[in-house]
Amino acid sequence: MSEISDRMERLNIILPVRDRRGQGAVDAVLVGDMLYLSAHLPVDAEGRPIYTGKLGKELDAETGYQAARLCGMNMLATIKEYIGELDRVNYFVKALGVVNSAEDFCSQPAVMNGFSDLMVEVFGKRGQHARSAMGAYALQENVPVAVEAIICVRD
Amino acid sequence: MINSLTENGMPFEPTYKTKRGIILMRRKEHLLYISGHGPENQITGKPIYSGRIGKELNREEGYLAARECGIIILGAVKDALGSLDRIERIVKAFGMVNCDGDFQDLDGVMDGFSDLMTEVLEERGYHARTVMGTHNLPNGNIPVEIETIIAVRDCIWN
Repeated sequence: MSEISDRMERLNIILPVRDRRGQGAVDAVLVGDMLYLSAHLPVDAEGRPIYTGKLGKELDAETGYQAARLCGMNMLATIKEYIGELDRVNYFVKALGVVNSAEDFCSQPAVMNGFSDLMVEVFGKRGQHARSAMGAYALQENVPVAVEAIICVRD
Repeated sequence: MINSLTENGMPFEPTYKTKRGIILMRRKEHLLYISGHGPENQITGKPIYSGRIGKELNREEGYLAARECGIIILGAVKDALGSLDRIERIVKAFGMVNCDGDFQDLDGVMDGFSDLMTEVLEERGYHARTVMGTHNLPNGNIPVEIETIIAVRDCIWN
């Protein structure tokens, strides 16, 4: 036990304990100049899914592309909230796209291009990134795609 | 605060050192990259939970399995750092949930890990998170596997 907590115990000062259940996951974490972004989903401002279904079953690759682009838009909103201005994005480091895929669907990269194309449109060369795309058996609320990323910020 | 966890009888077992060829964690400066951990006994390697969520296990069991992964990860970190007080914060977690049928409440499962981190580390337990549903995981189909990146401070690395 530390000196302060020993003293508080002697003084019988007990701090309230907050209930943080269900709040552990946040949209982004900044460590040094690296911003770690949680998986972003194709949802509206209230968090309701705009696209649902599996690729190769309910949805085709083109719809998946649009959904991945929407993941990117939501991520840009998060980045702006965290660092104030998108000009502070130095470059994208890495992205991981998880695509909710039916058994024989294997065009995950075509879906993930919706995200990557957006970043290159917005940031040019700085938006390019190392990338993995993989098929998932299930995603939260049956959204078709989720994208996480690590970016480098400046200033 | 951290000690209250052990007082509550939660077993942090600083027992394991190696697991075949896989390194359990790698430190780069103040970041600790931790391998995917499942709910497995760290001495025998035997799964504590096995099966897919939505078939053999339900959401609540998945939650407990994810919590178990978190306990095992904290145990490994405590072993490496000497004290959990040296955790600056949990940066990022990637969870793979072994699903069957139409199970979709992946966040509900992964909250088992996230709730533990905020319980133990409070604000420092907040992290970026990705959860995906998969259909196959190793070691007799464990229900969850979680990899993490943790920021550390004041480290004497042994």
